Amino acid sequence: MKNRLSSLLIPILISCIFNFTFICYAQDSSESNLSGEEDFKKLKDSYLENNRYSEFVDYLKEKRDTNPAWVSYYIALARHQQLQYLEESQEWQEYFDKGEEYRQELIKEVLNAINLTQEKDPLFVYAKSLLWEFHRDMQVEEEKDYLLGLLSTVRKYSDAGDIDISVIKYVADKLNNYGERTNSLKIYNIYLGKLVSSLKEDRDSKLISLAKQLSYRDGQICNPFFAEEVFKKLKEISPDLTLDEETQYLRAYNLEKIKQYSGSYPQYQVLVENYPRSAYCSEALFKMGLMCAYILGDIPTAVDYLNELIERFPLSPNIIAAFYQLGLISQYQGDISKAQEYYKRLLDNSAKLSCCEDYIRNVQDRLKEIEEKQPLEFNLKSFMDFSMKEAKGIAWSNNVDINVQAFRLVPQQVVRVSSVALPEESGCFQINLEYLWAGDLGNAHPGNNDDSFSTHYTSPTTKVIMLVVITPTGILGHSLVFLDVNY
Amino acid sequence: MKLNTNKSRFREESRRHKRERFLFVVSCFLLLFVSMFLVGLSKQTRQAVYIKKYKDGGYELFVNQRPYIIKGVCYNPVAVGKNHEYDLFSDPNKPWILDGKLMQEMGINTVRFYKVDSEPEKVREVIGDLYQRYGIRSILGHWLGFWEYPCPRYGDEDFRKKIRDEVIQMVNLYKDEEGVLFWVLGNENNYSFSGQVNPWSNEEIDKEVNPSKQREMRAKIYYSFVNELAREIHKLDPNHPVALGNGELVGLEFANDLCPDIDLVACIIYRGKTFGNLFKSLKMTFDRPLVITEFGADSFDAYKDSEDQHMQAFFLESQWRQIYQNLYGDKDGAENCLGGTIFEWTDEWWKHNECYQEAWSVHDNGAGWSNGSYYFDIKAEGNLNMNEEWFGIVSLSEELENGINKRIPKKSYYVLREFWKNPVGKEKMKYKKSR
Repeated sequence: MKNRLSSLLIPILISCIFNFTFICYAQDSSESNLSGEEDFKKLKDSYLENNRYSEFVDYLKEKRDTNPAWVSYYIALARHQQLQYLEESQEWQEYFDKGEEYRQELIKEVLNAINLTQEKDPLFVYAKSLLWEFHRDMQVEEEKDYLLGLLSTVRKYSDAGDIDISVIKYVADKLNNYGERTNSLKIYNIYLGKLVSSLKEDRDSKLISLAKQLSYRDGQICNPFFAEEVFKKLKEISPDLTLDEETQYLRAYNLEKIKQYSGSYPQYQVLVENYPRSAYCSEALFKMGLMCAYILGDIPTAVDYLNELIERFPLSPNIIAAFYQLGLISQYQGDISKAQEYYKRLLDNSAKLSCCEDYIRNVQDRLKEIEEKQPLEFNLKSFMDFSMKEAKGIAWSNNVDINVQAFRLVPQQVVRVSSVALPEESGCFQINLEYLWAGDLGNAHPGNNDDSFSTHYTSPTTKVIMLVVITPTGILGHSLVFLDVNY
Repeated sequence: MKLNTNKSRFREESRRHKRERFLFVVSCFLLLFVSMFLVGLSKQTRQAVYIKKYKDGGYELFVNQRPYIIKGVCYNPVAVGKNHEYDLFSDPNKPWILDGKLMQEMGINTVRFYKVDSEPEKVREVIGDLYQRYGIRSILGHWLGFWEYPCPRYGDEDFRKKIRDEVIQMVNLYKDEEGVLFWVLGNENNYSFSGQVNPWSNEEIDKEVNPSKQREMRAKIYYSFVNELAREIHKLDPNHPVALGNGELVGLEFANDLCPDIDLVACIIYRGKTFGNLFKSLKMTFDRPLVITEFGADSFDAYKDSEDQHMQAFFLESQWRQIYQNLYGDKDGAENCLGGTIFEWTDEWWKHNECYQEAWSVHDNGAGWSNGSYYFDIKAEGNLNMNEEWFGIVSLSEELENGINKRIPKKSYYVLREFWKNPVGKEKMKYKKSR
């Protein structure tokens, strides 16, 4: 026992000593030479990752002679991050007792950095950006002036020759993170233009990286519309380029999430063709099937995709969803025996896959309708009628939409689903709307007056929520969203 | 000769000097005596706490001859794991000593106690400690039997007598305590007039079929009763004003005729960022000075399901700004506000699931009611956005320090501390204002 303990302790001790020595060395080596941006960045990271803001500021003050402009900027940056940290960690005592001192120092140092640099210097742009961020955080009216100043600075910087274009992206990212979407787009476009016209080897990879960064992700700040613009630009300048599996999926997924289904569908097709063994294939085939059925109104192709999914991926949980959709389409088309066959296959496979709790109740309802010779459930039929007949081939309606808190879920995760319905202007007269929710609603049973509901799912498959909104004069519009439930 | 003349002149002058000195000393003593007499006289004729009404219709509160702005909190710091039966006054750990210090550092000068039905000596100790140690005065309240089972029977003479005795006892017990500021009768008892909250009735009301008339009858019975109490309190204690506790301004149109002995109105107001037309509306309905004895915001975003101290600080700062705009001296305001007591000092962990003892030790995120004026989280499910357990400007921790739940001041504590340092608001706020 003693031996075992020492055999464990000794390597840990050695590794600790080694790590400590390495950290000291790294810090020491970065401290000894503070000439360029990278040196300061390394030093900042080593101090600030442990929230040693004041220590960092004190150290920089001692080194002011080495590079006064960068020192001033990093003092200001440290104070800005310190104020943000104090606010996030709710250390209000220090925030309120010392905050004003930090703010004064920040302003003084950032102005110093601006005075010591010129418009074509990256540091000048960084300092201007910090000045705006600070005033934005403070929620003061002057923030608008600082924003205009920053935008003008970036334009002038980008007009100068031989520049580091990553500085432009830095500002665009900052603006995007602060929710300045319009202004961030302007700056991203400048960056995109510069990147496209550059002849550097890493141009394509930088474009892909930008598109990925801005593609849709739950809970993240993104700009999916611009991400697609970047993908299009990439295709334009490098038509022979094949995106890797992840990126190709991301492009299709990004378009799907902004409900540009007619654009997403061909991207999923490319994914399935280029990467037939991809882990995303079953999801892509299922979504393509439903897009064909409910958006393009192309039932035969939809059936083909769903059958292909069942044949090629018999162990995928998505085949349960595919069986259900095939049964539903058959039932809707009046092919009752085929519908029963699909529902039976779903139930047979349910034991094998043990992941179809969400579908059992739906299938039982459908089989009961068949047995009692009843029509399809009203909401479901309304959606299918509208999407497959009335709205077939026409543009996806913009006046009805479905919002969800998150598109990627884990089983049992509660998600809020809400509708957006934009009826015609009616002045002070309130229009009564009916919300016909259908599809995979999980454990929720929203009524026709419910414009939103919360639900959760048990099985890890792709879910589809459908909605038709009715006004007293008829159908206002319909919408559909996919939710991906995975472990 | 010349020398003699000089000598006699010198003697004469020295005598005159002595006489003058004597007269000066006597007149100084006289002046001192007169001023001491006058001060004593004024102390006898002036209340320790009184409200001055100015010719222009404004009101100002005075304490010991000095203007007093009520910068207060509702003080009911129920310990984690306890419920409404928790008796602060009997708490051997004396949390008011710790709280008083924190309050003083923040700038709070007043606490409001909803009820003081504990042992008198213990109540005196708390009031005394808060005042002697920290200069914090106490507003003492009485529920007027609003929560009596099965209902408050204001139309019943026996019930009224019982309540009257309790109120008189409270006044007799504490009227001579130096730290007492004023008395508050009732809280939101007027919400019972409609019959929807704690409904009460009598034979006469039962005979009336018109609900609007029933409401009026209840209001008249209740406000007459409160006025009787106020009159009796004034007889016993001329040194402290009597406030009528009221939910919003509901029913005060009846109080205007029935409550001449009420000195001020203590309103409970939850209107979000501003109090709207409250101050001017009160002037038109029942012209009395106003203390907002319950207002504030919770620090939990029911929509995002996470704590949001910025939201609370944002609302509270805005509310205090409006209180200051309606104090005496600000000609743009109604000049009828005397200050306010924020709801409340600490969070109360027992409130959401009060029937389950286990839940008293859990800081529950559940929201119990809806109020669209608190708009940041009104999109929460069922529009339930008011998180009753999160109204404190100080958080409680389960961790104990000297037997007391550790206090962690929230952002609003510091925001108001800074606001009270410069309440005029002409200087820019030095911190992030909102979310």
